[in-house]
Amino acid sequence: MDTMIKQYIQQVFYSIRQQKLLSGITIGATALTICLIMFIVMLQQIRTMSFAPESNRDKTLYVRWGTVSTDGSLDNTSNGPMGVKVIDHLKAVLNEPEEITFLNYYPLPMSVSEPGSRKGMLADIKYTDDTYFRVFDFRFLEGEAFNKDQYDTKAQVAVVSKDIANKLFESTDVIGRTIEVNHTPYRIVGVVDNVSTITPWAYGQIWLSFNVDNFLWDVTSFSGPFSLAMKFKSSDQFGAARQEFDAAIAEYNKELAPYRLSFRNQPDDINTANERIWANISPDMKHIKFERLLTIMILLLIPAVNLGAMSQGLMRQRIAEIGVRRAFGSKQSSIILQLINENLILVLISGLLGFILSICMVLLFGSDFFASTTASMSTISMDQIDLMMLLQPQIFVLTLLFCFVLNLLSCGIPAWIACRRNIVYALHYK
Amino acid sequence: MIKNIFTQILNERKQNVYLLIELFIAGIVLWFLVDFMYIKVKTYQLATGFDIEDTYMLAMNRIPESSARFHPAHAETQKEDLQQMLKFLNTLPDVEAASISLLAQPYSRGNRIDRLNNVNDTTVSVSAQRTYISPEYFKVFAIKGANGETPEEMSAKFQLNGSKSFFTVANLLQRMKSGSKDVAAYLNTNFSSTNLGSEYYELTGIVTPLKYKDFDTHYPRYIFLPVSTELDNEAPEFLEWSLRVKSGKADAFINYFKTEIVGKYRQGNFMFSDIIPMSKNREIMMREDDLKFKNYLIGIGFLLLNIFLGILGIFWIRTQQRRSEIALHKALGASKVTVLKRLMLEGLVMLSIATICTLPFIYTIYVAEIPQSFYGVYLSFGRFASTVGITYLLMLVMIVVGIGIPAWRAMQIEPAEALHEE
Repeated sequence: MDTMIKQYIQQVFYSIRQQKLLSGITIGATALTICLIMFIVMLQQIRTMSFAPESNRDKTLYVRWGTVSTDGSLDNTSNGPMGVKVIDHLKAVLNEPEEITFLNYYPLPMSVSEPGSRKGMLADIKYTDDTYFRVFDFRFLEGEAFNKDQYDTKAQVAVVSKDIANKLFESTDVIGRTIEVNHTPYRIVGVVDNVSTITPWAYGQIWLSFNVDNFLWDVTSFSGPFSLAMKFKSSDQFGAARQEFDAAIAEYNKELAPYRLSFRNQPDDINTANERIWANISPDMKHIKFERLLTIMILLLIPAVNLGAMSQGLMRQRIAEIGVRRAFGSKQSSIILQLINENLILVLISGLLGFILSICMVLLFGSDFFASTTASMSTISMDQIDLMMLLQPQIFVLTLLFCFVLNLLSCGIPAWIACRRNIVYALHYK
Repeated sequence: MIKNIFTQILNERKQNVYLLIELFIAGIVLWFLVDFMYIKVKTYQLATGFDIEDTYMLAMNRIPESSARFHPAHAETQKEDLQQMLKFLNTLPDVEAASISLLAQPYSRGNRIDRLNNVNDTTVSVSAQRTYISPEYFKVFAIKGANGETPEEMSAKFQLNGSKSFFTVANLLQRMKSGSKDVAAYLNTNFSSTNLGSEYYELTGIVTPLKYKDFDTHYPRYIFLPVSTELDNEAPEFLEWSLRVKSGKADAFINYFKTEIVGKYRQGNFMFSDIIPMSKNREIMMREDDLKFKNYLIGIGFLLLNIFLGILGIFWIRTQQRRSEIALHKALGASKVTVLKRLMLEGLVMLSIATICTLPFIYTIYVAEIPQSFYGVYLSFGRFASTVGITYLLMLVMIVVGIGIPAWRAMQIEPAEALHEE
C-alpha cells in the first residue's frame, strides 16, 4: 500500500513537471474556488459563532422588534423596538430563560465629558440592566459590572470601554471617577475591553443603568428603544421557551385589549436574528438558506466544468497508457481509482493553497468585509477583533469536503469515459 | 473560410462538445452577474434628488432634570427654544441654510408609514412616509421642484404652508395597486389619513423624486408636513438638525462650531454637542449595500479569472494536440497570421454558437422574473441586448487571450520539426 501511494505521488509530480502550465492552472483555479468558498463560509460564521463578548450566541434567543396593533388586526400596526413596559412584563412572567436582559440595539450617540470640562465628545451609549453583564461576557480590565442593588436603587453608575477611559482620562485606572453623560454625572464602576460592532448586541462604548435615565422615553408606552436577549442553559430549551413566550403574550393580550402585541415569529436564534432587518417583515429563512446554497453551487459549478473539460483533454493524452494497462489485465475500477487518487493529490495541494489564500484574504480585507452593518456614530475608531479565531478545525474539514466534491466532479467523469474506450482503439490512439 | 471552419468544428464535435458546454455554462453564470451589475449601475446613476455636499448634521442634547444645570424656567418652553435655536443657526455668517426635521434627513434609517387617500378620487390610495420639515429643508439639501423650481423657491413656497398642507415627491403615485398616476393632477386637492385624524390635508407642492438609498430606485413615498406642529410633541432627541455651509467655508465653520458653539451655546435646556458630515449618514446607511456590491465585484472577478483559466487550459491542450495540424498548414504555405486568424475565428464561431444557445435560457430567466426588476420591468430590449452583449465581449476577450498565447507559442515551431514528431 505504501509503495502504491508513493508511486501515485511520484506520478503526480512527474505529470506536474511535464505539464507545468496546465497543472498550474488546475491548482490555481481550484485554490481560488476553495479560497472564495471558505471566505463566504467565514463571513457567515463570524455573524453566528460564539465569541466574547457574545459568548452565548448558541444559547441565546433574541426579540429585536415588537408589533403593536391598535385594533387587533395586522393592518394598523406600529413596528419597532419595545418600551420598558413590555420588557418589565416579560421579565416578570417568563421562567424558562436563565437570564433576561434588554438593551437598545442601536447605540445612542450622546455627549460625554469629564466633569467641569466644556469639551465633550460623542460616545455610543447602551442603556441596560444588571443582567446584561451575565448574558454577555465582557472582559473587565478594572472594577466590575453594576449590580442589582445599584440598578434597583437607581445609582448613577457606568461601565466604560478602554477607549473612552483612555480618551477622557488617559488611563484605564478610573474606577470611582466621574463622567458626565448628557450633562448627568455617573460614577465609573467598571472598565471593559473595547467591543467591536461585529457583536452588535454587545457593542457600546458606555453602558448605563437604564433606571437612572428613563426620562428619555415614555415608560407607559409599548414602543421604546429596547430589544430583548434571553440566555438559556442550553439550546435544548428553545422549543419550550418559544411555547412559553407565545403563551405569555396571548395571556398579556387579554389584559391589553383592544391593543394587541405580536412578535412575528420571534424569539429568534442568532441565525434568524441576523437576518431580521426590518421591524415589519419576518425574514424568509428558507429562501435565504436556498440562496446561500445556490451561491455555493454556482461557485463550485464553474471550476468543476472548467477542470472537467481540462482533465478530459489531458485524459486523451493518457488513453494509450490506459489501454496498455487494461490489455495487461487491470480492472476498470482500479484504473479509475488511480486517476481519481492522482487528481486528489493535486486537489489537496490546491486545497492547502486555497486555505492559505483565504487566511491572507481575511487578514488583508477582513476589516472591510467583516465590518458590521450596525453603525457607530462615534468618532472613536473601532478596535479590530482577532480574525484568526475564524480559523477553526471544522472549516478545514469543510475545505477538505469541497476538495473531494470538486475532485469527483472534475476527474471521475472523464476518467470513467476514458476507461470505457475499446482497448484496441485506445492502444492505437495518438 | 467560415464554412470550412464549421465543417471542421462539426468533424471534431466529440471534443468540441466539452468546450461548448463549458462556454454555455460560463456564459449563463457570467450573464447573471453582468445583469446584476448592469441594474445596480443603472440605478446608481439615477440622480438622488438631493445634494449632501457641504451639509452637516448637528447632535443636540437636552439637559435632564436630574442635572444641576437644568433650568426649571425653561421646562415648558421647548417649542420656543427649538425655534430660537433654528433662527440662531440661520443667522451664522457661513451657514447657507439650517433646518429641523423628523425622519427626513437623507439616508436616515427610521420610517413612519401611513395610508394616504385622496378625498375626491377614491382610486388614489397610497402608502406614504410621513416626514416633518422646516421650510429651509429644501435649501439645505438643494431639492428642486418637479417643474424645475429652485430650492429657494420651494422653501419660500413651503413657508406659506399652513399646518394642514403638505408637499410630496413627483413619483408618489407611481407604484399604486390600481396603476400608476401623475400626482401633479392632484395638486391643490385634499387628502386624508387615518393616522392624521379626521382633518383634510392639502397637497400644495411637488418636488423631484428622491432616493432612499443610492442603489435603490426613487422612493415613491415621501410626504413633507411642517415640523412646527411637532416641536412640542416630539421627544427633542429624535429631531434632526441639518445645515448647509457656504461652499469653501466648511473647514473654518466646523472649527468655529466645535470651539465656539459646542458646550457654550445654550438655549433653555438645549445644547449642541457635535457636528458631523452628512456623508457619515450615507456611509452608515449604505454600508450593507456597499458591502454587497463589493461582494458581487469579488464574485465576478473570481468567476472571470476562473473562466479565463479554464478557457486558457482547454485551448492550451487543444493547440498542443493540433501542433501537427498547424505545422501542416504552415508547410502548405499559410503565414503565421493566417493560421492565427483561423484559430481565432474558430474560437469566435464556438463562442457564438454557445451564446446563441444561452439566449432562450436567458429569456426564460427574465420571463420568470428571477433577476432584479428596474421600476417593475424585468425584460426590455435594451437590457437584454446590453447584458448579453457585455457578456459576449467579456468572453471574447478571454477567448482571444486563451487562444492567442498557446497558438503563438505553437507557431514558433519549424513545420518540419512538428511534422517529424508524427
